[in-house]
Amino acid sequence: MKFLTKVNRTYFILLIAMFFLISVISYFVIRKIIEDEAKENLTERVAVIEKRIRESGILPDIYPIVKARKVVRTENIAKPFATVFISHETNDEYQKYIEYRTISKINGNYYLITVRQSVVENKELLLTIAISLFLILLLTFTITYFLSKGLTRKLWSDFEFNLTQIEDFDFNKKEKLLLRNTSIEEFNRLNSVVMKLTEKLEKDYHNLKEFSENASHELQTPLSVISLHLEEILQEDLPRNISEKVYSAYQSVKKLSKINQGLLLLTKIDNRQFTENESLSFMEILRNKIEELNPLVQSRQITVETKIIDDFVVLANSQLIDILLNNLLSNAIIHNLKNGFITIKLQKDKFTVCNTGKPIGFDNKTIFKRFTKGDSGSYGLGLAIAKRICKASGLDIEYRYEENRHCIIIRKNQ
Amino acid sequence: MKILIVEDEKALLSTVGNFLTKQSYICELAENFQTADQKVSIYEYDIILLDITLPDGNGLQLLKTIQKYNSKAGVIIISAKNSLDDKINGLDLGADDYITKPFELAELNSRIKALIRRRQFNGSSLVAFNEIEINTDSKEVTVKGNKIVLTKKEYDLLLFFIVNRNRVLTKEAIAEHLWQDNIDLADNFDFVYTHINAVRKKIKQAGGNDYIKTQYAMGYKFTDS
Repeated sequence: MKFLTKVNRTYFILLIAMFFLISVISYFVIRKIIEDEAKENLTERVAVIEKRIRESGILPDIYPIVKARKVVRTENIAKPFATVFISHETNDEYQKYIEYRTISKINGNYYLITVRQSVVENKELLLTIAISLFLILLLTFTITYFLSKGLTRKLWSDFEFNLTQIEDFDFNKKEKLLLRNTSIEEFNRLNSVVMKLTEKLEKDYHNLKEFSENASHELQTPLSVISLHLEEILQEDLPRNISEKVYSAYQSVKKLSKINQGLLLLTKIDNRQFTENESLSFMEILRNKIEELNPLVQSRQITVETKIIDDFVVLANSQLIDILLNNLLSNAIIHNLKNGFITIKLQKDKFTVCNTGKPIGFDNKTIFKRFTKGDSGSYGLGLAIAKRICKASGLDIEYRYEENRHCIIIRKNQ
Repeated sequence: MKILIVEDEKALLSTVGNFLTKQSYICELAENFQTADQKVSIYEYDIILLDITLPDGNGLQLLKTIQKYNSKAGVIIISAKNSLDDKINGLDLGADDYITKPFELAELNSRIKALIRRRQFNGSSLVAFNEIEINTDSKEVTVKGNKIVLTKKEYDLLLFFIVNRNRVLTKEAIAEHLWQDNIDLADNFDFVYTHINAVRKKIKQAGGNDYIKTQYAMGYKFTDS
């Protein structure tokens, strides 16, 4: 949820609650005021009527608001004020009245004076209060909403800008993280913290990258020395058990060197050392690759089927795509069965390589992780490299095992 | 045939030096940029093996001196960096070939031989071993004068064997020579076996001897002894 939405929602809920609370309170307060006013009015009116009776002796009788009659003194009034409902003659509606009864002694006679005043009914009062309050609150809310929206957009614009900068920031790009200074102290504090943190992280990251790249390079020379010496020892006429050991050491050195080269390649892809992109036709590259790999395919009696629906063209580094296709196709050959099949399918936005083969002995999801390997004696870097190349080239790579076939699907990501 | 080896790693320098001396080349060694620079500007070499990462200078810089004083020499760059940039730079500056560490001596040998064949035209395009003759210009192979037809990989394989005769060639070295880094074959070398059998069969059919001897499980040796 966006900050502004959150604020507005809270604000809205608060207003609704306030609306009900204020409605209830104002209902009681206003009702009390009206009633008090009416009572005061009525007592004043009684005084006027008493005066009139005293002077003229006429008993006023105006239904339903005034009535006076002569009574015997004994009557006593427990509750002088009462609320009564009286229906009009014209229609059936009942009207609410506040009634005040009192007994006055005028010129030695006792009179019961009843005065009534119509008051607004509770229902109507409540409705009026609710509507007016609602309108006021709605107006307030609308005004504040647009005001705060405008204000927030202005206040947060620098923050939004900085956020986009941070989102787009990539250690591998050579650009530095530049954050805009704002007029708000808290944002500036955040900026300086983020900048400091990124600087430190970037330094660490580059040190690490440099270290792994240097380490890989530096390893190549000693590996060369070991491998050359072992190669020379293998030339000697040695007892079989010794030469087997030397050969095994030689194989390990080869493997070590392959792993090293693979890791170096991964580092290089991460370091974006392959930046020159060009438009590449998979159809064309594949034609050459399949021809090149034909001897391998034949030696394992594998049948290769190619379905071309449309050419798959990507904008990428030719060296990387070459490595990608080498890895995928050699996997399809190595992890295949004798007399197996390889199916290659080219579509406008999809490239699929499927091969027959035994199911892999590990979780599908880990297949692109480095050093995940089956029992084929491979180094477990081929698909990790493939994935990294895809990522660097704007492609998505996916693995599926369907109907005893391993399928690698590459799609252009949007 | 005079070869200058420029390499700062002593063990590597002496191993390569010894190997090439055994192959009857005259070898001179340079351990650093300074020595190499001097040697190149004074003496003449046929082949220069050049490590481009030297402690006291960039090997690519040496290429310029070589162009100036030793333009006839064939240059093979040895690099720990398997980077395309270095390769392109090197080849642009006049290097003839590029080999990445760690390399096989057999591979180095076949690169040197190929370079020599390319550099000298009079009759040197012929590689022979007893009754087998390979013309590296026309890529034709004859056994006892009979032409045999080999696929590209089979041809490469036979040439690699003959150039590195009497040497144990491991399956790994053969696979690397045939496919370079293009393919991660893991431990699947059955195709090497398939190619070797095809070559054996074709030579036999043309009346030749089988010189390819199996060395336990590790590799093969091309020899008539």
